[in-house]
Amino acid sequence: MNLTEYTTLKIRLFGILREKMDSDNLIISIHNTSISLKELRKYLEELYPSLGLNEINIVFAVNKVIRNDYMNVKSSDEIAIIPPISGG
Amino acid sequence: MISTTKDTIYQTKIFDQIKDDSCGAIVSFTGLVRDHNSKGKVEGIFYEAYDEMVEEILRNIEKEVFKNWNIKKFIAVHRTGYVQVGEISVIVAVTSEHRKEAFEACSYGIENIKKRCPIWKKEKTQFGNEWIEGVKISE
Repeated sequence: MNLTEYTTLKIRLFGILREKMDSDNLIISIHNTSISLKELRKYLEELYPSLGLNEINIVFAVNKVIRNDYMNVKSSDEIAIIPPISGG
Repeated sequence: MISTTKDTIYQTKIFDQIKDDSCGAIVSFTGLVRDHNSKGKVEGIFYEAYDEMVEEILRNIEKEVFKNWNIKKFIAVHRTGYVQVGEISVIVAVTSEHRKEAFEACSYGIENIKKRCPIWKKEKTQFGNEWIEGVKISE
């Protein structure tokens, strides 16, 4: 019997990142119930090198609020990657 | 009224909504799509927004404006989708009894929209479509 717990995270994409992945979301599985945004960033860099996250000055929004890298996120959170903005 | 919209923004409609007989001043900022950039001709701009987050931030900006200035009404609307040259991309309008408050509140509104709202633009030019290099979002 496999007792390993997996949590699914849905990450919303916008702008150039949405276009690069040709998708509005990324769905990923992690081995724990939560993960820090710092770890998530590293994980996404490894999983999706074509996103170029290490080349773009991105931040994360969690439940529509900008959060720093030390916040932990779980499956019920609305997570979004915010690339540099250019409204107006 | 604060929102993002896929519909054309009409300045006259905004003026009618913001006008108030108890106020002697309306100050507004209207952002338009220019017909050029540093490389050449621009035909239009595709605007993309994280709509739900933008509306939450606009609500916060609205609260801050009412807290800091004695104004009567505040409107902030940003377009999404394709906006042609000459069309309005964003409008901020403020009504107050006197002009000083309206000028300051309007300036605060547009500056904070540009710094804090997750909105992205891609220009349609003679060379193709290109995402505009933006700035890191502010909290």
